Amino acid sequence: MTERVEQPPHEGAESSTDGQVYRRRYTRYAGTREGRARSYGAVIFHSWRRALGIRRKWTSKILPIILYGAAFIPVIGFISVPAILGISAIEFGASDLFSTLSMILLVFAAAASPEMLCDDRRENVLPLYYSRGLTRWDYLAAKLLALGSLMLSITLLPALILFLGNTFLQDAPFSYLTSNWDQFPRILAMSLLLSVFYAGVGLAIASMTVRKGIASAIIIGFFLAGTAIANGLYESIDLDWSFVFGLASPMDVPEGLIYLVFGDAPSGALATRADIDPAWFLVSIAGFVAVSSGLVYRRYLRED
Amino acid sequence: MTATHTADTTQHETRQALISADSLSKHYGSTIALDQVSVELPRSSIGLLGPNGAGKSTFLRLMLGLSQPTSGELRVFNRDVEQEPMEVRRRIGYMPESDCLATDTTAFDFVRHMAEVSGLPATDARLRAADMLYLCGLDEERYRMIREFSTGMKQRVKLAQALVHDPDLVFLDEPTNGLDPSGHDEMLTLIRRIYDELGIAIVLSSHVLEDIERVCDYVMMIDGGKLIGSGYLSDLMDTQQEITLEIDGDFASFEKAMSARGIEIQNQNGLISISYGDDAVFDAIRDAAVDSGIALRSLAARRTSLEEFYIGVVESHQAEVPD
Repeated sequence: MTERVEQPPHEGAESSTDGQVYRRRYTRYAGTREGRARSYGAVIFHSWRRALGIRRKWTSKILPIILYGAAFIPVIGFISVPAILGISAIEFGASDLFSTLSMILLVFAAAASPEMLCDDRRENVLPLYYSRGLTRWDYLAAKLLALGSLMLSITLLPALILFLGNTFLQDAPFSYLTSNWDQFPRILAMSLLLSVFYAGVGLAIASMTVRKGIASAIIIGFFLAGTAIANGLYESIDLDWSFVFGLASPMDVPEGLIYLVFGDAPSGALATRADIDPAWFLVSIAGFVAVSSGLVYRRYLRED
Repeated sequence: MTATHTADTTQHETRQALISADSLSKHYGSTIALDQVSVELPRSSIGLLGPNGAGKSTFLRLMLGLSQPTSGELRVFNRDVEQEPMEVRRRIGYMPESDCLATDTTAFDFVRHMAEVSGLPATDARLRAADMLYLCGLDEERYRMIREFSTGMKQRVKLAQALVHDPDLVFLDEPTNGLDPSGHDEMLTLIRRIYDELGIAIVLSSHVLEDIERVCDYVMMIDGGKLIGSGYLSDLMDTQQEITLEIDGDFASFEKAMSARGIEIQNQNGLISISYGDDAVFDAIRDAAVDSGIALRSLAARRTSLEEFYIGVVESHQAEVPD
């Protein structure tokens, strides 16, 4: 640790009380050690920086900026345009918003999940984490928190901004707020469910490879191909239990959850076409998270 | 040497065991990486010596808590690594053999990040990262991307991250790998300073015997997953010295005279070598020369190198192992 030492002034030099002289040499560290909470914070902060391209080359920042822009700019537009022009608020509900945000989250999961895990595996940094105050569980939990919190910022904040904006655009904001207060827990629950879903699946797939590009492609491919296959099976197999294909369709799970939370399914959603009780989508998301956890366990936590 | 090697407490009674293993084994399926290793290692600069695949890295991984032993007990700082891994890890640093650096970041950011992962507050982590990189010979370069670094500079960053949280014990796995002669020399000097000046105990794993001999005071030797020897280098070397001499006269009668005094000698192309552990051998040579009527042309005592000692230990170990 750098220590401050007294240094005699040079001959002829003007004395000053502003300058400090430091002698750099090693001394034992006598400061505080903040334990596991600091370790968690460090991994989360580091992961945020990687995912958002902070202190990295400019090309790493492009996609996060576009995705955050795609999530926030329409919401701000829906609020600011009526406010500036003095017209009535355009009806744009939370279920429509979350349906749009779900697409953005998919792209964000494909971009950010590999940033969370692949580099650490490819560059063999994991032994340095594990030989410090972090267990494998801690590491993965920190990564899940990091990705989940970023996703939450993309879902929760725009939805809250939209809700509050709609409120203040009303002629009677307070009465609007009191009659729609139940939107808060719905927005929070929806944001959490979507964040856990995309973060869990994204991290599970990213844990399978050290190549970020391949991981991103597999994540996108899993959602697109999985949805196409599940829909195809649902359409071609006409049995009592065919609705299960709808529950296994990755891109229909968010739609089903939106239906469950807001009671308003987006048009064309398999949840409505198949007449599935939306509560089943809680089972579906639990299944996706369980399978994802199993994959991650197999990759990271199984004893070597 | 026996399977259990305990530091000579009479000579080194102030040196307490820093690491102790009791019947420690690690199996990977049918492969036995470590087999019933029992050893006590003092707080010192310890060399972990053995050929590739001997079990050195497995032993390191067990001490770091990265793997769990199949059987046996391992204690570091008198704490069970399996039961109290966090207490142990908090006090150790680790420099792996392989690449382990995030290349898309600066050396300063990486070392600071590792300090924070070790629990240091942000301000302290920044100060210590700068100081450790300076100590390891990276000052101006610390804000450069690691991907631009040479192998030697990367080794220095690896060492800096191992020291940044001020551990009491640091594990160095083949720290001179890939270094040019000058970088190799500087790295060894730096490692020796870590123990001498900073008081941080070292476990240096290497298959380069000269590195161990130069840096370490204590050595633990592994071969085929088994412990084949351990002890202070000064003790081991003291007992393994050699005299070479040349004589004029009848070798057979000189050999007989030496044998009568209980000393075996070997003749290698006219150069006679005698292993000894006691200065009384010089008197025996003088007396044997008189008795056999030979003249001594030259006599030189030399200390056995660690390499010769190690080869001898390995050969005797392999001779004991049944086919």
